[in-house]
Amino acid sequence: MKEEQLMEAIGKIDESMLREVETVRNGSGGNTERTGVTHTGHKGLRRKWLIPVAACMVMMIGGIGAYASGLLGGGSLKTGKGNVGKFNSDYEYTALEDIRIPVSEIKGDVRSVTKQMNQEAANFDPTSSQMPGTKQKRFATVEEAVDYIGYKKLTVPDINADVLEVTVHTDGIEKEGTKGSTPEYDLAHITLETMYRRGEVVVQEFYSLSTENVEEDQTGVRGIVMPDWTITQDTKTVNGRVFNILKTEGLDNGNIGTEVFWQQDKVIYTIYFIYPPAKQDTVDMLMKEWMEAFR
Amino acid sequence: MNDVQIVEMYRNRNEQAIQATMEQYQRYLMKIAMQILGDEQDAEECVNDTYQAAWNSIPEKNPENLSAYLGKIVRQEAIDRLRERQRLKRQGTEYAASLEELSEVVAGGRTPEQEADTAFLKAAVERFLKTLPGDARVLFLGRYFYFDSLKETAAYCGMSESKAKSMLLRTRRKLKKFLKKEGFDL
Repeated sequence: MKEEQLMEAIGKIDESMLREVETVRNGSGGNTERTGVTHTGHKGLRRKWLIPVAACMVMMIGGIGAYASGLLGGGSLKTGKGNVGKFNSDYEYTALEDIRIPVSEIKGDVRSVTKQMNQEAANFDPTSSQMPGTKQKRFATVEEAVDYIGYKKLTVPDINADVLEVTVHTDGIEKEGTKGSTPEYDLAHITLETMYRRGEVVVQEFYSLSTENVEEDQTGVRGIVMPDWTITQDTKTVNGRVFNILKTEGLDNGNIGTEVFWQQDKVIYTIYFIYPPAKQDTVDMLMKEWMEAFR
Repeated sequence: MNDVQIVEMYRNRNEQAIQATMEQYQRYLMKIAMQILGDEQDAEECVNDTYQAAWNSIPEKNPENLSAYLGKIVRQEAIDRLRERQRLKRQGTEYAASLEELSEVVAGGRTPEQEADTAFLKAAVERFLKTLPGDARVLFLGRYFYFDSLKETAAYCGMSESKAKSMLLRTRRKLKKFLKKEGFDL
Protein backbone atom coordinates (compact mmCIF):
# COMPACT_ATOMS: atom_id res chain seq x y z
CA MET A 1 0.00 0.00 0.00
CA LYS A 2 1.24 3.46 -0.81
CA GLU A 3 0.62 6.52 1.25
CA GLU A 4 -1.32 8.05 -1.63
CA GLN A 5 -3.84 5.25 -1.32
CA LEU A 6 -4.33 5.98 2.35
CA MET A 7 -4.62 9.66 1.59
CA GLU A 8 -7.19 8.89 -1.08
CA ALA A 9 -9.19 6.78 1.37
CA ILE A 10 -9.15 9.59 3.92
CA GLY A 11 -10.48 11.89 1.22
CA LYS A 12 -13.46 9.66 0.69
CA ILE A 13 -14.67 9.36 4.24
CA ASP A 14 -18.26 10.03 4.98
CA GLU A 15 -19.25 13.68 5.02
CA SER A 16 -20.96 13.30 8.35
CA MET A 17 -17.55 12.68 9.89
CA LEU A 18 -16.34 16.02 8.66
CA ARG A 19 -18.95 18.04 10.46
CA GLU A 20 -17.23 18.28 13.78
CA VAL A 21 -13.87 19.07 12.25
CA GLU A 22 -15.43 21.73 10.04
CA THR A 23 -17.02 23.34 13.01
CA VAL A 24 -13.83 23.46 15.00
CA ARG A 25 -11.66 24.29 12.06
CA ASN A 26 -13.71 27.14 10.74
CA GLY A 27 -15.12 28.36 13.98
CA SER A 28 -18.31 28.41 11.98
CA GLY A 29 -21.15 26.00 12.28
CA GLY A 30 -22.88 27.49 9.29
CA ASN A 31 -25.51 25.03 8.40
CA THR A 32 -23.77 22.10 9.95
CA GLU A 33 -24.28 20.50 13.27
CA ARG A 34 -21.45 20.79 15.65
CA THR A 35 -19.49 18.86 18.13
CA GLY A 36 -16.67 20.75 19.73
CA VAL A 37 -15.17 20.09 23.05
CA THR A 38 -13.23 21.84 25.64
CA HIS A 39 -9.63 21.06 25.86
CA THR A 40 -7.07 21.15 28.56
CA GLY A 41 -3.70 22.68 28.13
CA HIS A 42 -0.59 21.16 29.58
CA LYS A 43 -0.98 22.99 32.80
CA GLY A 44 -4.61 22.26 33.26
CA LEU A 45 -5.86 25.42 31.66
CA ARG A 46 -9.30 25.36 30.19
CA ARG A 47 -9.12 25.94 26.50
CA LYS A 48 -11.99 25.86 24.13
CA TRP A 49 -11.75 24.46 20.70
CA LEU A 50 -14.39 26.75 19.50
CA ILE A 51 -13.03 29.86 20.92
CA PRO A 52 -11.70 30.95 17.64
CA VAL A 53 -11.55 34.63 17.81
CA ALA A 54 -9.74 36.91 15.94
CA ALA A 55 -7.53 39.36 14.31
CA CYS A 56 -4.03 40.15 14.97
CA MET A 57 -4.71 43.58 13.50
CA VAL A 58 -7.24 44.72 16.00
CA MET A 59 -5.71 43.55 19.18
CA MET A 60 -6.09 45.55 22.28
CA ILE A 61 -4.22 45.14 25.45
CA GLY A 62 -6.13 45.87 28.54
CA GLY A 63 -9.17 44.55 30.20
CA ILE A 64 -12.71 45.39 30.68
CA GLY A 65 -13.61 44.69 34.22
CA ALA A 66 -17.09 43.44 34.76
CA TYR A 67 -18.58 43.60 38.14
CA ALA A 68 -21.36 45.44 39.78
CA SER A 69 -21.43 46.81 43.24
CA GLY A 70 -23.38 44.64 45.60
CA LEU A 71 -23.18 41.58 43.39
CA LEU A 72 -20.65 38.83 43.61
CA GLY A 73 -19.43 37.54 40.33
CA GLY A 74 -18.18 38.84 37.05
CA GLY A 75 -14.71 38.88 35.68
CA SER A 76 -12.26 40.58 33.44
CA LEU A 77 -11.80 40.08 29.73
CA LYS A 78 -8.49 40.88 28.18
CA THR A 79 -7.37 40.55 24.58
CA GLY A 80 -3.97 40.93 23.12
CA LYS A 81 -1.69 39.39 20.59
CA GLY A 82 -0.12 36.40 22.19
CA ASN A 83 0.59 35.69 25.79
CA VAL A 84 -2.15 37.64 27.43
CA GLY A 85 -1.74 35.46 30.42
CA LYS A 86 1.02 33.08 31.23
CA PHE A 87 0.13 30.86 28.35
CA ASN A 88 0.00 31.35 24.66
CA SER A 89 -3.42 32.85 24.50
CA ASP A 90 -4.83 35.87 22.76
CA TYR A 91 -7.69 36.51 25.07
CA GLU A 92 -8.58 35.50 28.55
CA TYR A 93 -11.48 35.84 30.89
CA THR A 94 -10.59 35.61 34.52
CA ALA A 95 -12.63 36.04 37.64
CA LEU A 96 -12.17 38.97 39.96
CA GLU A 97 -11.96 36.63 42.91
CA ASP A 98 -10.50 33.26 43.75
CA ILE A 99 -12.93 30.79 42.22
CA ARG A 100 -11.27 27.55 43.18
CA ILE A 101 -13.86 25.20 44.59
CA PRO A 102 -13.16 22.82 47.47
CA VAL A 103 -13.51 19.27 46.18
CA SER A 104 -15.77 18.56 49.14
CA GLU A 105 -18.39 20.83 47.53
CA ILE A 106 -18.44 18.67 44.43
CA LYS A 107 -20.69 15.81 45.39
CA GLY A 108 -21.42 14.05 42.12
CA ASP A 109 -20.08 10.89 40.53
CA VAL A 110 -17.53 12.98 38.67
CA ARG A 111 -15.33 12.60 41.69
CA SER A 112 -14.73 8.96 40.86
CA VAL A 113 -13.18 9.91 37.55
CA THR A 114 -9.76 10.22 39.15
CA LYS A 115 -9.81 6.48 39.88
CA GLN A 116 -10.26 5.82 36.18
CA MET A 117 -7.46 8.23 35.41
CA ASN A 118 -5.18 6.42 37.82
CA GLN A 119 -6.04 3.11 36.24
CA GLU A 120 -5.36 4.47 32.77
CA ALA A 121 -2.07 5.90 33.90
CA ALA A 122 -1.06 2.52 35.29
CA ASN A 123 -1.90 0.83 31.98
CA PHE A 124 -0.55 3.60 29.80
CA ASP A 125 1.03 2.51 26.55
CA PRO A 126 2.49 5.48 24.68
CA THR A 127 1.99 3.85 21.31
CA SER A 128 -1.67 3.09 21.66
CA SER A 129 -3.23 4.69 24.72
CA GLN A 130 -4.90 8.01 25.13
CA MET A 131 -3.02 10.36 27.36
CA PRO A 132 -4.34 9.80 30.86
CA GLY A 133 -5.59 12.66 32.92
CA THR A 134 -8.62 13.69 30.90
CA LYS A 135 -12.05 12.13 30.62
CA GLN A 136 -15.21 12.94 28.74
CA LYS A 137 -18.69 11.69 29.39
CA ARG A 138 -21.78 12.28 27.29
CA PHE A 139 -25.26 12.81 28.67
CA ALA A 140 -28.74 12.86 27.25
CA THR A 141 -29.78 15.95 29.16
CA VAL A 142 -28.18 18.91 30.86
CA GLU A 143 -29.86 17.93 34.11
CA GLU A 144 -28.13 14.54 34.15
CA ALA A 145 -24.81 16.24 33.58
CA VAL A 146 -25.45 18.70 36.38
CA ASP A 147 -26.28 15.80 38.72
CA TYR A 148 -23.11 14.06 37.65
CA ILE A 149 -21.09 17.09 38.72
CA GLY A 150 -23.07 17.69 41.88
CA TYR A 151 -22.08 21.31 42.57
CA LYS A 152 -25.19 22.81 44.07
CA LYS A 153 -24.43 26.39 43.05
CA LEU A 154 -24.27 25.53 39.38
CA THR A 155 -26.88 27.53 37.52
CA VAL A 156 -28.35 26.20 34.32
CA PRO A 157 -29.51 29.04 32.09
CA ASP A 158 -32.39 27.83 29.99
CA ILE A 159 -32.64 28.97 26.41
CA ASN A 160 -35.19 27.76 23.97
CA ALA A 161 -33.15 25.79 21.50
CA ASP A 162 -32.71 22.18 20.45
CA VAL A 163 -30.04 20.42 22.48
CA LEU A 164 -27.61 18.53 20.31
CA GLU A 165 -25.01 17.29 22.74
CA VAL A 166 -24.18 17.45 26.41
CA THR A 167 -20.68 16.52 27.54
CA VAL A 168 -18.76 16.80 30.77
CA HIS A 169 -15.00 17.14 30.37
CA THR A 170 -12.85 16.43 33.37
CA ASP A 171 -9.17 17.06 33.84
CA GLY A 172 -6.98 15.66 36.52
CA ILE A 173 -3.82 17.07 37.94
CA GLU A 174 -0.97 14.84 38.95
CA LYS A 175 -0.59 14.54 42.68
CA GLU A 176 2.56 15.86 44.18
CA GLY A 177 5.03 13.07 44.68
CA THR A 178 3.65 10.92 41.87
CA LYS A 179 5.16 12.89 39.02
CA GLY A 180 7.84 11.03 37.14
CA SER A 181 6.50 7.65 38.18
CA THR A 182 3.03 6.28 37.57
CA PRO A 183 0.97 9.34 38.31
CA GLU A 184 -2.11 9.54 40.43
CA TYR A 185 -4.62 12.26 39.87
CA ASP A 186 -6.64 14.78 41.77
CA LEU A 187 -9.64 16.50 40.30
CA ALA A 188 -8.55 19.73 38.60
CA HIS A 189 -11.11 21.15 36.18
CA ILE A 190 -14.63 20.23 35.17
CA THR A 191 -16.40 21.69 32.18
CA LEU A 192 -19.97 21.05 31.21
CA GLU A 193 -20.39 21.71 27.52
CA THR A 194 -23.76 21.92 25.85
CA MET A 195 -24.52 22.41 22.20
CA TYR A 196 -27.74 23.78 20.88
CA ARG A 197 -29.15 24.87 17.63
CA ARG A 198 -31.76 27.46 16.83
CA GLY A 199 -32.25 27.39 13.08
CA GLU A 200 -29.06 28.65 11.54
CA VAL A 201 -27.66 29.75 14.87
CA VAL A 202 -25.37 27.28 16.56
CA VAL A 203 -24.85 27.73 20.26
CA GLN A 204 -22.30 26.30 22.66
CA GLU A 205 -22.31 26.78 26.37
CA PHE A 206 -19.46 26.00 28.72
CA TYR A 207 -19.72 25.95 32.48
CA SER A 208 -16.19 25.77 33.83
CA LEU A 209 -15.25 24.81 37.36
CA SER A 210 -11.78 24.62 38.84
CA THR A 211 -10.95 22.92 42.08
CA GLU A 212 -8.74 23.81 44.98
CA ASN A 213 -6.14 21.43 43.54
CA VAL A 214 -5.01 23.93 40.92
CA GLU A 215 -3.12 27.17 41.27
CA GLU A 216 -5.26 30.28 41.13
CA ASP A 217 -3.69 31.42 37.88
CA GLN A 218 -4.85 28.21 36.28
CA THR A 219 -8.46 29.25 36.55
CA GLY A 220 -10.16 31.20 33.82
CA VAL A 221 -10.90 30.76 30.16
CA ARG A 222 -8.37 31.46 27.48
CA GLY A 223 -8.35 31.26 23.74
CA ILE A 224 -6.29 31.89 20.72
CA VAL A 225 -6.91 34.02 17.69
CA MET A 226 -6.67 33.27 14.04
CA PRO A 227 -5.36 35.61 11.37
CA ASP A 228 -7.80 37.63 9.29
CA TRP A 229 -10.44 37.71 11.95
CA THR A 230 -11.53 40.84 13.73
CA ILE A 231 -12.62 41.07 17.31
CA THR A 232 -14.44 43.67 19.28
CA GLN A 233 -15.10 43.78 23.00
CA ASP A 234 -18.19 45.01 24.70
CA THR A 235 -20.08 44.72 27.95
CA LYS A 236 -23.76 44.47 28.65
CA THR A 237 -25.47 44.97 31.98
CA VAL A 238 -28.50 42.85 32.80
CA ASN A 239 -30.08 42.76 36.25
CA GLY A 240 -27.06 44.61 37.57
CA ARG A 241 -24.67 42.01 36.25
CA VAL A 242 -22.00 43.07 33.79
CA PHE A 243 -21.41 40.49 31.11
CA ASN A 244 -18.32 40.59 28.92
CA ILE A 245 -18.86 40.10 25.22
CA LEU A 246 -16.36 39.22 22.53
CA LYS A 247 -17.49 39.42 18.93
CA THR A 248 -15.54 37.86 16.10
CA GLU A 249 -16.07 38.78 12.48
CA GLY A 250 -14.48 37.44 9.34
CA LEU A 251 -14.98 33.75 10.06
CA ASP A 252 -15.16 31.44 7.10
CA ASN A 253 -18.48 31.57 5.26
CA GLY A 254 -18.94 35.10 6.53
CA ASN A 255 -20.31 33.93 9.84
CA ILE A 256 -20.01 35.84 13.07
CA GLY A 257 -18.98 34.42 16.43
CA THR A 258 -20.14 36.09 19.59
CA GLU A 259 -19.13 34.89 23.02
CA VAL A 260 -20.48 36.07 26.35
CA PHE A 261 -18.68 35.54 29.65
CA TRP A 262 -19.98 35.57 33.18
CA GLN A 263 -18.70 34.28 36.50
CA GLN A 264 -20.96 33.50 39.39
CA ASP A 265 -20.56 31.30 42.45
CA LYS A 266 -17.09 30.25 41.30
CA VAL A 267 -18.33 28.97 37.94
CA ILE A 268 -17.31 30.62 34.69
CA TYR A 269 -20.19 30.57 32.25
CA THR A 270 -19.64 31.22 28.60
CA ILE A 271 -22.02 31.02 25.70
CA TYR A 272 -20.80 31.11 22.15
CA PHE A 273 -22.98 31.80 19.12
CA ILE A 274 -21.98 31.18 15.54
CA TYR A 275 -24.35 32.61 12.98
CA PRO A 276 -24.77 34.35 9.66
CA PRO A 277 -24.99 38.15 10.01
CA ALA A 278 -28.67 38.07 9.08
CA LYS A 279 -29.36 36.21 12.32
CA GLN A 280 -27.98 38.90 14.60
CA ASP A 281 -31.48 39.65 15.95
CA THR A 282 -32.00 36.01 16.89
CA VAL A 283 -28.65 35.96 18.65
CA ASP A 284 -29.40 39.18 20.50
CA MET A 285 -32.63 37.64 21.74
CA LEU A 286 -30.97 34.36 22.81
CA MET A 287 -28.18 36.28 24.48
CA LYS A 288 -30.65 38.37 26.42
CA GLU A 289 -32.55 35.25 27.54
CA TRP A 290 -29.31 33.70 28.67
CA MET A 291 -28.12 36.72 30.61
CA GLU A 292 -31.50 37.15 32.29
CA ALA A 293 -31.39 33.56 33.48
CA PHE A 294 -28.79 34.37 36.12
CA ARG A 295 -30.36 35.27 39.43
CA MET B 1 -28.94 31.63 1.85
CA ASN B 2 -28.51 28.28 3.52
CA ASP B 3 -27.21 25.01 2.19
CA VAL B 4 -30.62 23.48 1.69
CA GLN B 5 -31.64 26.39 -0.51
CA ILE B 6 -28.44 26.20 -2.50
CA VAL B 7 -28.79 22.47 -3.07
CA GLU B 8 -32.37 23.02 -4.15
CA MET B 9 -31.15 25.52 -6.74
CA TYR B 10 -28.75 22.92 -8.09
CA ARG B 11 -31.53 20.40 -8.27
CA ASN B 12 -33.71 22.87 -10.15
CA ARG B 13 -30.82 23.53 -12.54
CA ASN B 14 -30.79 27.15 -11.52
CA GLU B 15 -27.42 28.55 -12.53
CA GLN B 16 -27.53 30.99 -9.65
CA ALA B 17 -26.60 27.97 -7.55
CA ILE B 18 -22.98 28.36 -8.59
CA GLN B 19 -22.94 32.04 -7.71
CA ALA B 20 -24.50 31.26 -4.34
CA THR B 21 -21.92 28.54 -3.76
CA MET B 22 -19.12 30.91 -4.63
CA GLU B 23 -20.41 33.52 -2.22
CA GLN B 24 -20.69 30.99 0.56
CA TYR B 25 -17.72 28.72 -0.01
CA GLN B 26 -15.12 30.36 -2.26
CA ARG B 27 -12.76 31.15 0.59
CA TYR B 28 -13.19 27.76 2.23
CA LEU B 29 -12.53 25.91 -1.02
CA MET B 30 -9.63 28.12 -2.00
CA LYS B 31 -7.96 27.41 1.29
CA ILE B 32 -8.15 23.64 0.82
CA ALA B 33 -6.94 23.90 -2.76
CA MET B 34 -4.10 26.21 -1.76
CA GLN B 35 -2.96 23.87 1.00
CA ILE B 36 -2.58 21.14 -1.58
CA LEU B 37 -1.40 23.03 -4.60
CA GLY B 38 0.40 26.01 -3.16
CA ASP B 39 -0.36 28.04 -6.24
CA GLU B 40 -3.16 30.57 -6.39
CA GLN B 41 -3.91 30.27 -10.06
CA ASP B 42 -4.01 26.49 -9.93
CA ALA B 43 -6.14 26.66 -6.83
CA GLU B 44 -8.62 28.99 -8.52
CA GLU B 45 -8.90 26.68 -11.50
CA CYS B 46 -9.36 23.79 -9.16
CA VAL B 47 -12.14 25.58 -7.30
CA ASN B 48 -13.83 26.43 -10.57
CA ASP B 49 -13.67 22.76 -11.50
CA THR B 50 -15.25 22.02 -8.16
CA TYR B 51 -18.23 24.24 -8.97
CA GLN B 52 -18.58 22.46 -12.27
CA ALA B 53 -18.35 19.08 -10.59
CA ALA B 54 -21.00 20.11 -8.10
CA TRP B 55 -23.22 21.28 -10.92
CA ASN B 56 -22.79 17.97 -12.72
CA SER B 57 -23.22 15.75 -9.71
CA ILE B 58 -25.87 17.29 -7.52
CA PRO B 59 -28.92 16.36 -9.53
CA GLU B 60 -27.89 12.80 -8.84
CA LYS B 61 -26.45 13.33 -5.38
CA ASN B 62 -28.27 15.11 -2.65
CA PRO B 63 -25.61 16.21 -0.15
CA GLU B 64 -26.83 16.76 3.37
CA ASN B 65 -23.68 18.62 4.26
CA LEU B 66 -22.82 20.84 1.33
CA SER B 67 -19.57 22.22 2.70
CA ALA B 68 -18.17 18.75 3.37
CA TYR B 69 -19.39 17.58 -0.02
CA LEU B 70 -17.65 20.46 -1.76
CA GLY B 71 -14.60 19.99 0.43
CA LYS B 72 -14.25 16.41 -0.71
CA ILE B 73 -14.57 17.40 -4.34
CA VAL B 74 -12.02 20.19 -4.18
CA ARG B 75 -9.63 18.01 -2.25
CA GLN B 76 -9.73 15.29 -4.89
CA GLU B 77 -9.57 17.80 -7.74
CA ALA B 78 -6.51 19.40 -6.21
CA ILE B 79 -4.78 16.10 -5.54
CA ASP B 80 -5.44 14.96 -9.09
CA ARG B 81 -4.08 18.23 -10.39
CA LEU B 82 -1.01 17.91 -8.23
CA ARG B 83 -0.38 14.39 -9.42
CA GLU B 84 -0.61 15.59 -12.96
CA ARG B 85 2.17 18.00 -12.33
CA GLN B 86 4.29 15.09 -11.14
CA ARG B 87 6.32 17.12 -8.80
CA LEU B 88 4.61 16.22 -5.58
CA LYS B 89 7.58 15.92 -3.34
CA ARG B 90 9.16 19.12 -4.52
CA GLN B 91 6.18 21.29 -3.80
CA GLY B 92 6.78 21.85 -0.15
CA THR B 93 3.04 22.11 0.35
CA GLU B 94 1.14 20.90 3.35
CA TYR B 95 -0.15 18.02 1.24
CA ALA B 96 3.38 16.89 0.53
CA ALA B 97 4.32 17.23 4.18
CA SER B 98 1.19 15.34 5.25
CA LEU B 99 1.95 12.59 2.78
CA GLU B 100 5.46 12.33 4.11
CA GLU B 101 4.15 11.85 7.61
CA LEU B 102 1.69 9.20 6.52
CA SER B 103 4.43 7.28 4.77
CA GLU B 104 5.47 5.90 8.13
CA VAL B 105 2.08 4.19 8.42
CA VAL B 106 2.40 2.29 5.17
CA ALA B 107 5.39 1.03 3.31
CA GLY B 108 6.08 2.20 -0.19
CA GLY B 109 5.57 -0.01 -3.20
CA ARG B 110 2.32 -1.31 -4.52
CA THR B 111 1.77 -4.70 -6.01
CA PRO B 112 -1.56 -5.91 -7.33
CA GLU B 113 -1.72 -8.37 -4.45
CA GLN B 114 -1.06 -5.66 -1.93
CA GLU B 115 -3.41 -3.18 -3.41
CA ALA B 116 -6.38 -3.03 -1.16
CA ASP B 117 -9.65 -1.82 -2.45
CA THR B 118 -9.95 1.86 -1.58
CA ALA B 119 -13.53 1.35 -0.55
CA PHE B 120 -12.52 -1.18 2.10
CA LEU B 121 -9.72 1.06 3.23
CA LYS B 122 -12.04 4.03 3.44
CA ALA B 123 -14.47 2.00 5.55
CA ALA B 124 -11.64 0.90 7.84
CA VAL B 125 -10.42 4.47 8.23
CA GLU B 126 -13.94 5.51 9.17
CA ARG B 127 -14.17 2.77 11.76
CA PHE B 128 -10.83 3.82 13.13
CA LEU B 129 -11.79 7.47 13.33
CA LYS B 130 -14.88 6.57 15.30
CA THR B 131 -12.69 5.01 17.97
CA LEU B 132 -10.81 8.25 18.52
CA PRO B 133 -11.78 10.90 21.01
CA GLY B 134 -13.04 14.11 19.44
CA ASP B 135 -9.84 16.12 19.77
CA ALA B 136 -7.67 13.45 18.17
CA ARG B 137 -10.17 12.96 15.35
CA VAL B 138 -10.40 16.67 14.59
CA LEU B 139 -6.64 16.95 14.67
CA PHE B 140 -6.21 14.00 12.34
CA LEU B 141 -8.77 15.17 9.82
CA GLY B 142 -7.61 18.77 10.01
CA ARG B 143 -4.16 17.61 9.09
CA TYR B 144 -4.87 14.81 6.64
CA PHE B 145 -8.17 15.76 5.10
CA TYR B 146 -7.86 19.53 4.95
CA PHE B 147 -4.05 19.62 4.95
CA ASP B 148 -3.94 22.43 7.44
CA SER B 149 -0.48 23.14 8.74
CA LEU B 150 0.51 21.67 12.08
CA LYS B 151 0.62 25.14 13.55
CA GLU B 152 -2.83 26.01 12.34
CA THR B 153 -4.31 22.67 13.34
CA ALA B 154 -2.89 23.01 16.81
CA ALA B 155 -4.27 26.53 17.02
CA TYR B 156 -7.86 25.69 16.26
CA CYS B 157 -7.70 22.61 18.41
CA GLY B 158 -6.59 24.77 21.30
CA MET B 159 -3.34 22.98 22.04
CA SER B 160 0.34 23.60 21.67
CA GLU B 161 2.08 22.63 18.48
CA SER B 162 4.20 20.08 20.29
CA LYS B 163 1.17 18.46 21.82
CA ALA B 164 -0.57 18.35 18.45
CA LYS B 165 2.50 16.77 16.92
CA SER B 166 2.68 14.20 19.65
CA MET B 167 -1.02 13.41 19.40
CA LEU B 168 -0.77 13.00 15.65
CA LEU B 169 2.16 10.67 16.08
CA ARG B 170 0.20 8.51 18.48
CA THR B 171 -2.81 8.54 16.19
CA ARG B 172 -0.75 7.45 13.21
CA ARG B 173 0.73 4.62 15.23
CA LYS B 174 -2.71 3.57 16.31
CA LEU B 175 -3.93 3.72 12.74
CA LYS B 176 -1.09 1.51 11.62
CA LYS B 177 -1.89 -1.01 14.31
CA PHE B 178 -5.57 -0.84 13.49
CA LEU B 179 -5.07 -1.36 9.76
CA LYS B 180 -2.76 -4.29 10.37
CA LYS B 181 -5.34 -5.84 12.62
CA GLU B 182 -7.96 -5.30 9.94
CA GLY B 183 -5.83 -7.32 7.56
CA PHE B 184 -4.38 -4.62 5.37
CA ASP B 185 -1.00 -5.32 3.94
CA LEU B 186 1.04 -2.30 4.87
